Amino acid sequence: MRVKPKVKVWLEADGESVIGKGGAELLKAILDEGSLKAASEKLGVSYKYAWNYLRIIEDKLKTKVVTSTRGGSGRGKTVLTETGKRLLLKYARFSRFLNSVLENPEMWEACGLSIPDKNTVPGRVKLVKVEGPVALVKIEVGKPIEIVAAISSDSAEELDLKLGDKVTVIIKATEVMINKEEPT
Amino acid sequence: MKISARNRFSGRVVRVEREGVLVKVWVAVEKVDEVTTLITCEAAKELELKEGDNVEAVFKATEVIIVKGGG
Repeated sequence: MRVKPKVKVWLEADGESVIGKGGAELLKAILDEGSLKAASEKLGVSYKYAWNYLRIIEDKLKTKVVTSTRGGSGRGKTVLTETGKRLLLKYARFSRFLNSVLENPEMWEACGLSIPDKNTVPGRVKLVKVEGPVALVKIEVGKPIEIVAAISSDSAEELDLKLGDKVTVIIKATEVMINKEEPT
Repeated sequence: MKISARNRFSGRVVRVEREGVLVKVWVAVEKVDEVTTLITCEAAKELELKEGDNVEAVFKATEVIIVKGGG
């Protein structure tokens, strides 16, 4: 089973959650529909639920996020206040940024957490030889198979690599060449 | 032919899959599990790579990343 990391984004004020995904969806629907009734229908929630949801957001923020006007023919209009728009925009920006980070393999690579099309092999350090700026490290990945890594001495020091350390070796798939023997 | 690369693993091609201009090749290496590699379609064609081929997975020591903690 392949597992993937996910993030949930919410905005807090004074340590209390103000809006999360649901709240942002509600504000977005109000922005698009211009009415709380149409917005709640779009989201498939009851008008009362949506109304309560907005009250909770406003209570926590201590300011209005929507303004409602009664239409002459009984069709009420609800629009976002400036605060409401800013809140939605802020949520959308954070959410988009964090999700793009999750989807960006280079970001994971930079953290040393994961690399797409990677080969990861667990092993044990058999040799660390630091010479100048480069450290040569031998890792036994299965008797008697060893992988040789040339990493910077700084990295070796940072990882505090010692004999017998358990490590994982990563080899990017694009860096592996295939050698096929000519049939003899 | 002599190759300077420090890491050479003999194995058997267990799967070849085209991915756009690249070909993904799975090489089963004894005691190490599988090593995957992305090579160009051109290269795969030239080598006439197919399942069951005996090959060597080769990579330079400078292309190895070490993560401590293992697992």
